[in-house]
Amino acid sequence: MIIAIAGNPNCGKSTIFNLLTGGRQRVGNWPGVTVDKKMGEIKHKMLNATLVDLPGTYDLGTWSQDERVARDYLFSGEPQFLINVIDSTNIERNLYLTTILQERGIKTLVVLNMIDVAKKNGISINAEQLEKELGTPVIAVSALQAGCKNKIMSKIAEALSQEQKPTLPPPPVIENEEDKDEIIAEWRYKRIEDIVAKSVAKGISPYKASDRIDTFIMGKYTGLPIFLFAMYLLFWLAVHVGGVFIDFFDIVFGAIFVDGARYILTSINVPESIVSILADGVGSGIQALSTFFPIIFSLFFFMGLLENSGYIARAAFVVDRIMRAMGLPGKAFIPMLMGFGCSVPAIMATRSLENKRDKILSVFMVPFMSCGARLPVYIVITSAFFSHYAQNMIFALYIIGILLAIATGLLLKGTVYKGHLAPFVMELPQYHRPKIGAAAQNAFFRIKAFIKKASRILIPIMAILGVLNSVSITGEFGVSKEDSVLSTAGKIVTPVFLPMGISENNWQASVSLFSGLFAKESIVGVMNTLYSQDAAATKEETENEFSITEKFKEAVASIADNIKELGKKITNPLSLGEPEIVAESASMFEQMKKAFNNSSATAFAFLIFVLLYVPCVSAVSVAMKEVGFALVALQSLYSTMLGWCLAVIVYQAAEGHSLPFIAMAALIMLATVFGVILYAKKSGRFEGGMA
Amino acid sequence: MSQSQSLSSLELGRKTRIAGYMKNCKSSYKMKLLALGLTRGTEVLKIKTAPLGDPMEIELRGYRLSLRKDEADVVLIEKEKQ
Repeated sequence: MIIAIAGNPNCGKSTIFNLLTGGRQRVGNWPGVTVDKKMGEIKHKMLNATLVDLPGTYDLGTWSQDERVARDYLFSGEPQFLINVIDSTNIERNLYLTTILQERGIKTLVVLNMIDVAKKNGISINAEQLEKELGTPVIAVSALQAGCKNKIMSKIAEALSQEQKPTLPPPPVIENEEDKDEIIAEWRYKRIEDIVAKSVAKGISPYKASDRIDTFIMGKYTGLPIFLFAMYLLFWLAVHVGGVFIDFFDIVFGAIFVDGARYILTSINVPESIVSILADGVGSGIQALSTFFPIIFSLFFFMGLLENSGYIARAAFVVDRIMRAMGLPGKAFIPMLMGFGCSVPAIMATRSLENKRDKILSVFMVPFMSCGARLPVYIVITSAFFSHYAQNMIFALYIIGILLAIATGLLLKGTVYKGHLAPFVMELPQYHRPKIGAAAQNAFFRIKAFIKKASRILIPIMAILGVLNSVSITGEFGVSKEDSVLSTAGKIVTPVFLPMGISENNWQASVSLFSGLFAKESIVGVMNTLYSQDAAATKEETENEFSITEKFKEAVASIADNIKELGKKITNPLSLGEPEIVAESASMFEQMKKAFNNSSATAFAFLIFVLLYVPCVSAVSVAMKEVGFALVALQSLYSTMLGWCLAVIVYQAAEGHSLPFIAMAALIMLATVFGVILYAKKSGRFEGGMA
Repeated sequence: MSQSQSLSSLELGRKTRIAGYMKNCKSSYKMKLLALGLTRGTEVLKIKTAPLGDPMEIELRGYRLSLRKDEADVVLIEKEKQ
């Protein structure tokens, strides 16, 4: 049997869904649209059934995609039973959907959810009376109470065995009246008011305490400063607390899946080519995946704390006006902010945006935010070329990213997404004490989702890149990084960067860009190796006896080291211009400067390109899961082209002074922008979710 | 209803009743707002506005709702009670 579950957004529908299905669910798509279709199995001694979750809606009209999906499905005749979840604290509005669902003529059980909260607010609902008034069975539950599932299941069984005669007659048919929509809605609400008057005793306003806090938190003069402070704090905590553990995961997973795997495989005489694929490819894919765990966990954990305290909804309310200028709803500030930490959780966070349009726009804008992995590249190169101005140049790169994100938002808003945003319906929850357990659980869930989704794309790509990175062009395995196919490719494409001042003998720069595909911070490592030409030292290291206990000690020590560093970062959130880096790599700096022809303009142009070229494989993987391959490819192309053109223009304006190059870059930039708009308008991939 | 004003002009902390919708109002907006309970004659109370004056929060039918200025503009209210 198939049972559908319907209700308003935020009525606790997913809690009931998870309760009945035990959290086991599969996600598909509704036919023809990109709205998620969530399904799960009810396995209970009284009944086995498939539960289909309908999108949360207030109505079953035809104006929004969600409503159309729900409406079409209920018309299709597939669901034989309907569970209508109602938020007991807001019964009047929730019953509006109920009256419409009744017109479908499907046997229904009305579940009054959150009855405990309603009681606390002094609302008392007479479920039996309500049952009589509606003509459908009603059950009042609190999903958190034990035995709730059994209660609902026996009520469903009872409802299935009975005839149902909804007492609400269908609305009058009105034609040719200018205000027929108003008349029908008023007619429905009139009936609801009657029902509520007979079966519900209204309580006191639960908002008093929250209101008092809000006068300060959302005050005219205090609202924005508090928002900025809260976000700064959130960001600092999330990035740095998470950051403490990144090295730990990197070393431990590297030791097990790369070095360990190689050690074991070599010791049982597995051919080098296979060792290479497994250890350097799949192994380093798993290693790369693991380094994202701490940052994903901490970003979602701290965000979750703020969210269940009730602040995030208010923050979205406060900044809605500003975000809307870029064509996004207030809520979209979350992925944008997370983007400065890491694009991966940022793109994952676009899930909470209801409209596909908002999601696509965000996925296009997030990679422009300079993530934490790009920062080390900025630091090393700016300290080599700009010494005293290093911080200013880094700041400039952040600003360039932000401006391009805004420009992209405006561009798409003004062309592809003309017209208004979907009506904004938001309920500001009451303030609560933050729930640590729930936030941690949600953060773990995000990591699980990341592993599940990203690994399918990330590991194969990493495996391929890893092999290309260790096999020579003649098919010889286990060569040093300089002779690998990837490096050879890097050397071949070097001339592409000539217009931004990178001469052909500076192939190290373009090779490092290829390794940046794995993770942008690895650009620094590769440059370090290539410029210092210390191949001998690297070899020695790999020949050392592999010891997993040593590696593990090193991993644990990295946490302690990183915590020590934390103190310094309190006043310096981006940890700019750390002097150790400068001292340690003085000789490498000399080499690098020589390779860049001592040109700071070239160095800055290169950094612009680093900021803008293809996001790392991990970000691409999660983005593909959110919006599909075509749009991610388009974003990568768009952003890389912009990066190249901008880098060329900056270099030529500052130093090269070649008008033809400037003109060419400007033309290519224009062509890219027009190309994207044209594609966006023609392909239809950008559609969806506009109300 | 020539004297009616739009919901967005309601002053903070004031109560009024909904009078109807602007003639040129988009159907998608109207249907959504109607489903949310902004039917004619419904009492609404303006609770707060965001620091930049938009969006705003209103209370009606025992619950609270945030509306953008664009949306509140199309809703007409009865002239404010003094």
